[in-house]
Amino acid sequence: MTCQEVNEYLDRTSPADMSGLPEVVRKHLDNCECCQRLWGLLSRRPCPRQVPEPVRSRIEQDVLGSLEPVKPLPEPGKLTLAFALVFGGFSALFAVLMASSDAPGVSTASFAAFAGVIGVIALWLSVTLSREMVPGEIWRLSRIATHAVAVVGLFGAMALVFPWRIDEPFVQEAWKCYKAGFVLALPAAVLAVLLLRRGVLFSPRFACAGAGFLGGLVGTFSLHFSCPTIGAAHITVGHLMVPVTGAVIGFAAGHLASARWSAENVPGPAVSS
Amino acid sequence: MRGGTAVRTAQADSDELQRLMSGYQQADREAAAKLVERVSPMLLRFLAGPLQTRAYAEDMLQECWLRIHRSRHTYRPGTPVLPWFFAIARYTRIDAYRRRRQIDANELAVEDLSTSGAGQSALPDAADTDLWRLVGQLPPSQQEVIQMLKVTGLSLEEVARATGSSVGSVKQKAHRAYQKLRELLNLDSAARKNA
Repeated sequence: MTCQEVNEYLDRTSPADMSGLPEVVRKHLDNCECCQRLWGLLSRRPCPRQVPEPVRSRIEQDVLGSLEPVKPLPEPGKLTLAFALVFGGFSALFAVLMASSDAPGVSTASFAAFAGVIGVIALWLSVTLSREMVPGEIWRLSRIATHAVAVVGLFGAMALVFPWRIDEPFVQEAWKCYKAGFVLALPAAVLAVLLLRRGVLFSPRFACAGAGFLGGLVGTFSLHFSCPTIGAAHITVGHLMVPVTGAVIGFAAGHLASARWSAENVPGPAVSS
Repeated sequence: MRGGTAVRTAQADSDELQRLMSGYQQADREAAAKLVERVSPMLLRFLAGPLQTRAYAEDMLQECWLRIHRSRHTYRPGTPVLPWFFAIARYTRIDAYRRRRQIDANELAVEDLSTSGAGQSALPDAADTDLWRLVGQLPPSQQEVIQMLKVTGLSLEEVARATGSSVGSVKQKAHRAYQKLRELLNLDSAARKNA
C-alpha cells in the first residue's frame, strides 16, 4: 500500500469514520506518519455553521414572499432537440431557397459527407448548449475542449473533402460568401440565445459563443448548397470563418453581458420562465 | 453493515431533498421553508471557506438564495439536488470574489498603498482550525474540491456535477491537494519541533 493508494480511500470515505476501513489501509496509516497526519487533519471537520435566526428569516422572507409555481425546464433531450431544430429548420429553409442548380464540384458522397459533418457538429453543440442551461450537469469534456472539438472537426472534414487550390478572384468571392453566410447565421444565433435565456447561464461567454457557432453553421450549411466554388482556400475563408466569427462575437457579447450583470449586481443571469 | 446503513441514510436524505425541491417548485411554502432550513447550513459552510468573515459569508448566503429562487425552474425533478445547489453557490462565491476584487482595486487606487494589508486582516475569522489554515494555502481550485469533498461531505460525482467538470478532473485536483497538504503538514511538524 502506497500513499497514492491511500488517496483513493480518502476520495471515497469520510476520514472521521474509520469503521469500514480495510486492514491494509489501517496498517499503512500506522506506519506512515505523513498519511497519519493527513488523515487526522481531514477527520477534523470544522464546526457546522448555524445560520443566525435573523439571516434565516430574511432568506425565508425573500423566498416565501415571492413564491409562485414554476414549470421545470424540459428534459435534456428536448432542449437538445430544440437547438437542433433551430439549426435544422433554418439550414433546410435557406438551403432550399438558395440551392444552386449547378452540379457540385466534388463527388456526391463527399458533398453529402461534408453536409453530414456540419449536421453532427451542430448536434454536438446542441447537446453542449442544453447543458449550459442547467446547473449541476456533468461535463465529460471542459467547455474549451468541447468547442475545440467542433472547430477541429469542421476544419478537418473540410481538409479531407475539398481540393487544396485558390480560385480566382479569391478575395471578392470569399468576401461575398462570408457576408451572405453571416446574414444567414444571424436569425439562428439570435433564436439560440433566446432559448438559452430560459436557463441559468453561469458561463455566458461560452454559452453565447456556442450560440454564435451554431448560427454560423447555418450559414456554412446553406453556402454549401449554394456556392459552386470548391477550393479549400475559398471554403476556409468564405464559409468556415462564418461560425468561427459567430463564436468570437458570441464570446464577446457574453463577456459584455456578464460584466453588465456583475456591475448591476444582478443575482444571477437566470430569467425566470 | 455500517457502510450500507450510511448509504441508505444518504439515499433517504437525497430522496427527501428531491421531494422538498419539487414542492418548492410547486410553491409549497412548507417545503420551501424546510429546504431553507436544511440546506442553508451546508451552503454557509461552503461559502464561508477558509478566508471569509462570517458577516460576508452570510451576505453571500442571502445572495445565493436569491439566485436559487430565480433559477428554481432549472432543477429537473429526479436529478441530484445538492450538486444543483452547490453549482449555484459556487458561482455566487466566484462573482462575490470578483466584485470584491474590483472594489478592493478601486479603493486601492484612492487610498495609500501602504494600507493594502489592512483589508485582509478583517477577513479570516474562520481560520480557527488547522484544517482551514492549511486548506487556505492551497490553490483556489484545490481548496474548492477539498471543501466540497471533505468539509461539506459531497461525493466525487456530486463535486464533478457542482463544478461542471469530470470525475477524473476532480480526483486529480483532490490528489494534488492531498499531496500539498502532506507537504504542508510536514513543514508544520518540523517547525513545531524546532520551536
